[in-house]
Amino acid sequence: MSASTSLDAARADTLLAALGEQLAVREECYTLVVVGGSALLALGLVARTTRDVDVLAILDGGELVSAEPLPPSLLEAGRVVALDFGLPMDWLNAGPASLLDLGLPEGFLQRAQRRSYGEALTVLFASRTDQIHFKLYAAVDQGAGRHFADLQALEPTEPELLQAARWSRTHDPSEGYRSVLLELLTYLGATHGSDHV
Amino acid sequence: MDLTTFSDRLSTQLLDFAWDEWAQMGVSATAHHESRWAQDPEALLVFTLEVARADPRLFDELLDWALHNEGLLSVRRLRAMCIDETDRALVAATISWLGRRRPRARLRSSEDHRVQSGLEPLFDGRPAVGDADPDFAAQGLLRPPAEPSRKSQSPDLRSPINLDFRLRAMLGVGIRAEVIRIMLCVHAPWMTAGALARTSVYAKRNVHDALAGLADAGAISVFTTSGEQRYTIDKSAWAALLDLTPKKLPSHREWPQLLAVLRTILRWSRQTDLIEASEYLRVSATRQLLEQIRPELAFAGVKTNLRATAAEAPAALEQVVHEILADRQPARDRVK
Repeated sequence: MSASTSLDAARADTLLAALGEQLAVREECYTLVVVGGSALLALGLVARTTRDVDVLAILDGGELVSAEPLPPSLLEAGRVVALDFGLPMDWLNAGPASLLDLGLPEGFLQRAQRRSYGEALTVLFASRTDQIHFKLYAAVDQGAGRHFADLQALEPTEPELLQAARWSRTHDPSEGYRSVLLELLTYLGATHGSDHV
Repeated sequence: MDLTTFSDRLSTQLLDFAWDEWAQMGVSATAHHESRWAQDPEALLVFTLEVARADPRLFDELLDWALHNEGLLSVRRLRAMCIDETDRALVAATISWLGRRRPRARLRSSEDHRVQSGLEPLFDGRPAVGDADPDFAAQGLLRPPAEPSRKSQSPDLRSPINLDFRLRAMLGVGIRAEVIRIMLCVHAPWMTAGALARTSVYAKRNVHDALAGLADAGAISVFTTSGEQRYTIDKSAWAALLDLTPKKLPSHREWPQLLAVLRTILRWSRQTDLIEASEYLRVSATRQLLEQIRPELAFAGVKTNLRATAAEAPAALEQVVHEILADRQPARDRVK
């Protein structure tokens, strides 16, 4: 329970286990869909650290519902964990919740990797395939940086990149986006991008 | 964190503290320390009603002391010191027990005196057998009938710890004695009615009225700064009246807040579900407890680690207890 604010795989695991215990005390039960750095760490896909746990959605009765805003009981349990471990209050956040608005990649839930943190918390970590989708979209949107580095670390194949590119166009059909996307695909070795997006 | 060990050690520390304090105030016992502070009788009594649940002998000597010195106590303040339903039940039972033996209007209670069903044992780990004391049973607490030991004495009014009783003997049991005690003992050039109200546990309006009366009588002085009335006292004159030098005036501690914090910690440490919880939940609960008691500690001037994580919380909590109970002078080192 050190006060470092960066999370590696083991620490993220500890925090989610603590969150599960706090939810159990409150007799609340959640299944969270998590993407981003903490999901990459949990699945052993990258070795870097992250600073937060990004909640994309909450699985409620078999349906994905937006994580924005996070439910009060989840927020309160997250606040307690933040103070317990000396973390920023937004260590658990619904930052990527808007991805749900225009739809997730086909088969997302089936591919997600399920992990239980006690009886009160289950986390569905976005699979490698889906992380390629999200990271490609974010890298085009935000340029070089953490997302681009993650995308490279995932070592996507050309078919994976093209599939992700087609999905990302459903979120941003603009010409400007397409042009940056094509440049990025070329840079990553997907030379037939223009035929597919 | 071994909560059972912490709780047992805390209980022993608090019992030692309570015995020492009461021994200097007239309870039949030997004091092992001499307190340099003026005690707050009602705050200590309500505190001891909880702490002594682990020591029936102290509990019964306290009842005996309260019966012998009932005229020195404020029933209204006893009730005002309560922080939860457990306090209220213990105080109501005690007042009812006193009233049965010393019928006075101020000890009369409007509460229902019928014995409740499903009584909780008053004393820790000691199921009561035989008859139940009716005054405690009416509050849902099971204990054998309590009889006064008749061993208690009146407090030695010259002892520093008993300054409050001395002032009550001079000014009567009420707000005036409390505010004079606080103003004489506190290390501050002046105080506001708000601060005095919180420290004395009287309503601000009543404290304001009492201060106005004392100022009119010349017992204290009042001045106004930035629209706020500030009250000051001539410690030298009061010390001379009490046949003391100003340096011999006892020190001030925020007993209502400090003793409330200590019994909050004690009750917290005895929660069965917490004892059985995971190590993480225990240390998390410890940190949350620190968060809960921090305002009272801040008011009482006890430093706490504001940034303590759950892992650091048990040590921080031990430090809080240590700071509250510190500064006790061994009796053999008494200053002549």
